[in-house]
Amino acid sequence: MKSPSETSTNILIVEDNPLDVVLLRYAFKAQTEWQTTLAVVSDGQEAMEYLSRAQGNSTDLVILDLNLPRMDGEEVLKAIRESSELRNLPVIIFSSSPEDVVRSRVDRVSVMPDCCVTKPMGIEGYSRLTQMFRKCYTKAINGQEGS
Amino acid sequence: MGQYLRALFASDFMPHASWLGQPDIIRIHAWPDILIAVSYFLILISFFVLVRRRRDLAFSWMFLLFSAFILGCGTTHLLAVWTLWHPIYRFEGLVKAITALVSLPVALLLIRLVPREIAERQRAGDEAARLNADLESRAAERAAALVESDRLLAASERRRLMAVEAAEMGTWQWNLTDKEIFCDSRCRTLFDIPADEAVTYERFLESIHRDDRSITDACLRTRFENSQEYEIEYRTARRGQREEWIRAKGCCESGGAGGAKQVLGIFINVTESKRAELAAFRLAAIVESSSDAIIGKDLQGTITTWNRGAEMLFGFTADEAIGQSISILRASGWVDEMPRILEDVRRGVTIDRYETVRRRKDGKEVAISLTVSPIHDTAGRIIGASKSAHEITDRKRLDQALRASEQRFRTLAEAVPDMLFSAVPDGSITFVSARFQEYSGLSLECGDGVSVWEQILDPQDEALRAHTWKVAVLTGKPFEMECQIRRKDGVYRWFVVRALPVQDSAESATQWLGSCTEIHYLKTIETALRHSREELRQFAYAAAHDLQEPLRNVVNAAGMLARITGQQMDGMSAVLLKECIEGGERMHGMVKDLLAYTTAVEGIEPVPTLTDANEIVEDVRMNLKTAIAEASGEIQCDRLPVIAVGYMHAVQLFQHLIGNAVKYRRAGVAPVIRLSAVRNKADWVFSVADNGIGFDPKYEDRLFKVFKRLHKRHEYTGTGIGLAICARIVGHYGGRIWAQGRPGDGSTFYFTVPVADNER
Repeated sequence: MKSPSETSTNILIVEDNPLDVVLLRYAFKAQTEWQTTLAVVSDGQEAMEYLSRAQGNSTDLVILDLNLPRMDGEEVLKAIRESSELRNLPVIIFSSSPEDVVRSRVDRVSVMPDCCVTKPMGIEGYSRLTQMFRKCYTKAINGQEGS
Repeated sequence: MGQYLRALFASDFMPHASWLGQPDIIRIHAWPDILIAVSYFLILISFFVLVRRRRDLAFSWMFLLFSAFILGCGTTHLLAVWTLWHPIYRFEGLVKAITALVSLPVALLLIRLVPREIAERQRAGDEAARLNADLESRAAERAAALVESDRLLAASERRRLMAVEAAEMGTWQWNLTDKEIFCDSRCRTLFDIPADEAVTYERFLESIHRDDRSITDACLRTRFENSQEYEIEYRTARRGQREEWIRAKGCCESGGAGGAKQVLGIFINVTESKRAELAAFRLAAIVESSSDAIIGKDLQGTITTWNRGAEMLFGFTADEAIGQSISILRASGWVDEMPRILEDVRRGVTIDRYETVRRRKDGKEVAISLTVSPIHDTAGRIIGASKSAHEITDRKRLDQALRASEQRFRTLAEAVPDMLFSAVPDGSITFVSARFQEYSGLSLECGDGVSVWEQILDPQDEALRAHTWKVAVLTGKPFEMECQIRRKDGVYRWFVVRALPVQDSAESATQWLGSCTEIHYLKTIETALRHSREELRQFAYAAAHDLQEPLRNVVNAAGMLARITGQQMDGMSAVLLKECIEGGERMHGMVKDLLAYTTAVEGIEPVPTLTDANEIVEDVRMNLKTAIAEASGEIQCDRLPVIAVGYMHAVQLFQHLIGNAVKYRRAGVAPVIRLSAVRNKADWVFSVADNGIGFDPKYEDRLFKVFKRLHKRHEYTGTGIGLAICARIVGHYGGRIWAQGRPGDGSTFYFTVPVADNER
């Protein structure tokens, strides 16, 4: 595993709402302390295909929406956790649903994401997002190193 | 000599019969000769008898001679017949000669004797006349004696009459050939016949009571005809007076010539003794017909009377019991109180309703209530005891009560709209009410009790029923389940089936009584309600998630646009874009609040958990810490009760009320919020009072309605959902919420919650 400070972090964004993709890209571009490389897919099936391909192996973090075409976010999460290669890949659920709804949906597939972040209402919220993602990612990696 | 005899009887002649050769001539000779001979002999015999009887007759030797003569005559005629066939003429001639020899002296003697006999007869007639005169004089003497005896009889009659008077008897005398009856004055009094009125038999009958008349008449006539004695009793018919009982006694004598009879009779007024007898008879009938056992006993305890009630109660017949000791009824193993009872009786004490146990003939013991009273004779001496007893385990009364209660149950079973049944512990149905039969089309005759369930429930419900039933029987707890029961037309309808064990004397219930209450309508509504709740839930979910997504896009896109082109935009465009963002944000808040409102009472438990209101207030104080601190607010809280409201609901309720009190404070005045609770019957009345801006009472209704606000948006934030949520929660716990206030003078919000069950 590479350290976030050394090289760029490869992030896969699984999001079907184009505005959210625009706002996320804007947010990542607007900050300078975290070097990231973004890849975007717009449904769960695509996400699994991307991750199973060669370039998917270099993915460091998945930012996953729940309501997705073809395959829902919690199912993508389940597939990642059940895959021997991807099992330890950090996953952040990024959803507009309230946290309790997210919890109950995730509980249904009996796997845990590393973090849950609620999509902000109003663009002011987006400026704080990248910091939250980074904190979550760092924690996930440290946790893995610790164990 | 022998030779001579042979010659004498020789028949060497031709008989008449042969030489005559005419049978008719023989006949006319033979029959008269035989008859003459027989006549002679008969005369001879009667002569002989006369001579032998009348030893006093004179001339006996002459009679003897006469007899010889008659004998000879007879014999010659007999021989004349004989010689018709056996010609012994020599012998015949000899006999005739002898007869002739005798007849001559007889004739001579008679000529001499007849005048002497006539003289003798004359003398005998004189003697008879003398004897007759003698007899007549003796008869005269007898007649005189008879007159004397009649005189004596009359004297004895007077004495007899006096005796009759003494015995208050009336006498009558009737020669049946006469019309009139002789009655003495007492008779006339008895029968109410005036002294001057002639008494006839018909008049006598009229004086007899109508009911007794014909039978008396019939009886008397038979007795008169057969000359028998009679003794009868009847009532008199005296108009307007009480009836009198008469005992009549009499005899009927054969009288003189012509079979005329005379009746002599007496009457006695026996009304008093008859009344006593009737009373005794009635009493005896009452005793006999009583269902209570009534027993008489003497002072030694020997049974003297025994009625039918006693036979029924103790099983002994009167024949078996009378003469036995009362101790035949003693139950073994019980204290023998009989001697004590007898002792009490001897002392004249009555034992009233003494409850004890006696033994029946068949050995069974029977609990009875006894009343024993002494019996006194006319002189007042105690001579025995009467005992009456009835069963107190009184099976009959119990049976009647049972029948009555059974009838009540049946009537009730048909009166209630529920279908009723009874079952035994294995679930077999033993009784179904008419309504049950009418609904299901089944009766118990259709099959055994268990199959009733199989016929009215579908297999899944039946399996559940069998399981639930077993559990109920094992635990002895009421059985209850909701299931669909098949109607006779095949339609299933919802019922709640309940059954309770009947607590009889047995250790575990041997019977269960159950009801099937139709809840089809309720169930239909419930199902519809469930559907609509599910729809609402889905709507709420959609509102919370799916609708939020595009709204978020509107707000975020507008925000992004404002950021990118912010500097180049004119004033108007900037205001419009701001409105767009704010409208989206407000809508976001309202949808969230609406969701909170609709889900506010979800998950209310049937039995609410107990929550300490003091802890709730502390938690709310923590939640609102920042807001309270910013406003420099103060919460004053009395000691609050424990309430039967779920924690989350209680928090929401208090948080909205306290939050509002902080929010709607007067400018420049630190909010002071006072919480208290007082008990009012079965409710706690909570109050949350503040010193805030208050409100116009005319808007009180609006306070608790969804999204109704009393203030402009820019003055106070919020969508106006808080109090609506409060009202919803309070309403769901069966309470009430209201508010009091005046503009600028603070508000007080009240709500009630029921007192927890364990504190009632």
